[in-house]
Amino acid sequence: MLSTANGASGRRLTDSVHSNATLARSSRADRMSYALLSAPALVVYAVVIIIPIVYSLALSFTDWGGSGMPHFIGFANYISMFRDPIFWHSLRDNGLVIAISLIGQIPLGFFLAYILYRQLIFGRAFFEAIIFFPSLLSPVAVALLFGVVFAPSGLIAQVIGMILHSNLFELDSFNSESTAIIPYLIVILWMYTGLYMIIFLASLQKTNGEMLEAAVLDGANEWDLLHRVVLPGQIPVFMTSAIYAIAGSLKSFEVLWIMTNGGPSYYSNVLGLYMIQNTFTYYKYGFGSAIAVVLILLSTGLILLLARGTQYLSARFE
Amino acid sequence: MARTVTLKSLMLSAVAAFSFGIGHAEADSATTGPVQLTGIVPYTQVDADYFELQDMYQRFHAKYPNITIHFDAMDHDAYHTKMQALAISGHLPNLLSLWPGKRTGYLTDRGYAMDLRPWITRDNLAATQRALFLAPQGRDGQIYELGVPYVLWTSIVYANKALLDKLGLTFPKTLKDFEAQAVVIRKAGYHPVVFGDQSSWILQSCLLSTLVGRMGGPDWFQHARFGTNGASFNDPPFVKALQIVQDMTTAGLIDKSEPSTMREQALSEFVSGKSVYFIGGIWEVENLYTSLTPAMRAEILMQPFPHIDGEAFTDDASTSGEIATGFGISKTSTPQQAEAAWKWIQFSMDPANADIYLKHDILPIYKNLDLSARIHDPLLHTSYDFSSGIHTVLPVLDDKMDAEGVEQIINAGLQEIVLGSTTPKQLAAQYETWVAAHDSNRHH
Amino acid sequence: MSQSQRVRAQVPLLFRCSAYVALAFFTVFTVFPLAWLCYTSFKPEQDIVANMIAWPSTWTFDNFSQAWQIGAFPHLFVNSILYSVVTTVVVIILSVAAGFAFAKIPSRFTRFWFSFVLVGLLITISSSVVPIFVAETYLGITNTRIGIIIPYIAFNISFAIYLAWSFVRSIDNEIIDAARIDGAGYIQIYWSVVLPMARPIVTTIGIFTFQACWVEYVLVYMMSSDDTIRTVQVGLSMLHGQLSYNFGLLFAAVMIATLPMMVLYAFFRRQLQAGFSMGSVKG
Repeated sequence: MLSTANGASGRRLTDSVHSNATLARSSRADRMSYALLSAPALVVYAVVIIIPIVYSLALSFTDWGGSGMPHFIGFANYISMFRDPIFWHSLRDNGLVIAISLIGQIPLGFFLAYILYRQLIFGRAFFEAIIFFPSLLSPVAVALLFGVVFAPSGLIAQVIGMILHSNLFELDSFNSESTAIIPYLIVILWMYTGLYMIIFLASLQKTNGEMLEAAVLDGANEWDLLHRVVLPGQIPVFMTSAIYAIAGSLKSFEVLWIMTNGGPSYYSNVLGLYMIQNTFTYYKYGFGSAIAVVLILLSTGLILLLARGTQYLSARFE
Repeated sequence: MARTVTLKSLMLSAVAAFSFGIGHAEADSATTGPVQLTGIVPYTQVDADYFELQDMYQRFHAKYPNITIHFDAMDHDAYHTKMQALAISGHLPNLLSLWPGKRTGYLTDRGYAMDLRPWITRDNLAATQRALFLAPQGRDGQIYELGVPYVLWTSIVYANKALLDKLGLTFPKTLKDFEAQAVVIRKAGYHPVVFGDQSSWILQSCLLSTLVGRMGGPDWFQHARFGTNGASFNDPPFVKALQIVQDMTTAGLIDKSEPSTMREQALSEFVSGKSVYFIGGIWEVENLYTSLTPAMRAEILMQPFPHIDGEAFTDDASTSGEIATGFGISKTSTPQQAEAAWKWIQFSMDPANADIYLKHDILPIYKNLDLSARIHDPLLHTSYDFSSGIHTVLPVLDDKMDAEGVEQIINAGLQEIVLGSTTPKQLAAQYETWVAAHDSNRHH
Repeated sequence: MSQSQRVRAQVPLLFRCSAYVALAFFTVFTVFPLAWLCYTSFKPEQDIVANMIAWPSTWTFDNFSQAWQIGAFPHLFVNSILYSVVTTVVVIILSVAAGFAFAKIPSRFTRFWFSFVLVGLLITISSSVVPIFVAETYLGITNTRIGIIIPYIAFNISFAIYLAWSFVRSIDNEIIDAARIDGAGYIQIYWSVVLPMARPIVTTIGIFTFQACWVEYVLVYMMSSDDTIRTVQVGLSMLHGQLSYNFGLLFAAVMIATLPMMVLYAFFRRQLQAGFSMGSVKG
């Protein structure tokens, strides 16, 4: 029976027996160790993060516009947010961003990493470098770059124009409410797949070579190896990558801001950009904070869902 | 009783003399003791303004060696975000870069900037500056910023004369002619007009503002803005202006791809001869200057928008614009700092320093100084002639009205009109509803 | 790595084909825009305006020399590297310690602290920038390097603690219990048992943290009032004017800014590989 890198369930019983014994022995020294080990991180974190949490939460119930005294208005911000069609459309676009991250970046990153790890092709260092490179680029540059690529008379339009022998071909398929976000989806796929690839590459190194050997000797081919031996062991990495992807997808907007400014109209807006617009362009700090709070709740919800899903998957693969 | 009056008036005049004396003494020490000032500007080393600032400051510091100004430069969006944070935390720099209208309303409408009128009167700026540049900016007539005396025209029709000649056309006199030209131009395989509305403010600032100004006139707009005289944005002038945008799209003057076209690309189309016209602001002159050869520069025409049938304001030598951005003084400055800051502002408006502006292709307009003889480049000459030839400045929407309404409803709505997903009447009604409920112009 | 080389499984044809196709497609997809970025930076500005897409007809280094002059890259670079490296090192040390504590030391507070830490994952820098700025102004640490590094650490530590926790959790308790029976305290265990084993996760945390710090620019320009402490990213964002227009300059600057990172990556790759393969101490 193949056991995964995580301890199998048989461990748990002995865990608790042992820890009870050790707990009884020197709990005071243990508590000191616990404090010493965790305090530095917690202190830095708490001191900095408390500020925006309290600020956002408190302001979200006011109508503060950046000056004067804030007035308490209860849930009015939240209500007007849920009535705002731009909010819902931004949510939809954000959903697509998350979907691309989870279904596009991560599996693709894993697949590429696997190919490189199993050395199925030559020139590994070169591919690693090239595919990882985009994640280090400045958001400003990427936005301008792809702004020109997807523009109505941009790179893609010109290439298509050459194929169709038409000089004035214009790419306007991304002008509609439903498709305006697509260029951004392609951009983030381009930018971040390399990051996940590197992470998976790192994690694949940990795979037990002997297990692979044994499986091959048992008659497994490359495909079997992939989905029976390697994949189950990588589930934790998928999980952490997914968490990172969800949090990141809901937070990021800088590239989109410069690339489309949420346009045309509001068709390619996302929640992060929606929040910035309301805070710094319309001076609705209270409303902007409410959006921040909603973002936090959304991410929490999604991550919890993800945790459930992963538990289920791990159980299946055990 | 006579004695007490005399005594009182004596005391009063003594106090007055005393404080006047003190005031005077302060003014003197302000020019002699060392003063440190800070300022932030919303342009960086890729803008000509940045280098003009360096030159101006060099000359200023040479004249007033005791005044040191430390300027921080950042890009446009970063500037506004940072200034808001600085305002909230009470740490604004001494010199604020301000727009004349709502763009920096988060500072001017909230009492962070000092009113410059006392200084303007004291130093008689009216002697060298046109009244236009000393016009009221704040709700009660305050003047918050002064900069290079120059109107930032937002709506100019640039034309490629060589291409016009080639197609056998001349600059259109009326909108009807303009629309008719669209067909001819497209048949010949060129774009009629490019704007580059991807950042969404272009159609509003560079087209709609002029249309609104012409169709309704500045007086009507003032009433609609403040909700006086029963005027509102549901009135025919506004709806008609929006209708013209729709008509221009149908006629093919505004391309359906405009909402996704970046300004840089629009410029590229115009410069490479693929488009006959380019509608944008006066800031494009700098870009045209660097991307065209001198021969090509001579072929650029600059005109206000053609005549529109049914205009309420019939002087067609009018286009939308706002006076240039400039410096204001933050209320957190000490009297000594404020005085030094004023010296800087006054210095940069002084006609004696016009040569620095000319050196960087910025063309100021003074009361008693005509600079056209000192401008040699054909494009810059065309630009100066354009500026000097406009009689009336029409209001720019995002300068006068609150950002949220203009951006969320008008800017976005214009893109939707071009794409065909809303109608002029709907958009006008939507905007009026918002303005009536939220705009600070209607609510005090 | 060498182990997988020894094992040569049979590769189904479909699998091999899709491998090639995926890699090829993705590489071209990645390279295309980069190539455009690269050759555009060698075009004179007039040519770029005339035709943004075309292959250069004249090649020039003007954009690079201008970018170098304006960009003040050397000292911006030093700042970028300083912030990224210091933050990464501190985050690694603190997070592995905390991750270990949460994973292996029984305590009834762990649930609370852990959830508390995870909230940080969901906070955006942009929603926090104004309150943090006000707080730093109050403390007088705006325009200081520490004023940037501390928030960087705080924003990156949540995910790092999560990674460290899930890694440490997978370490066999037998190893730890054995050390405990020998009389070692938790801190000693952390130092002599866990830390040496943690190289794989250290590398992972390092990659995520470094990348996040490297591309960040909002916090830097908000907290800084002059060039002395600004980073490469802020410098690059300043080269994009709102009303003016110069792609060549910006792209040359991007090239200057990013190429050293690739060189660094090329150097550290060996280290990264070596670190990873240490992790396979399973039975």
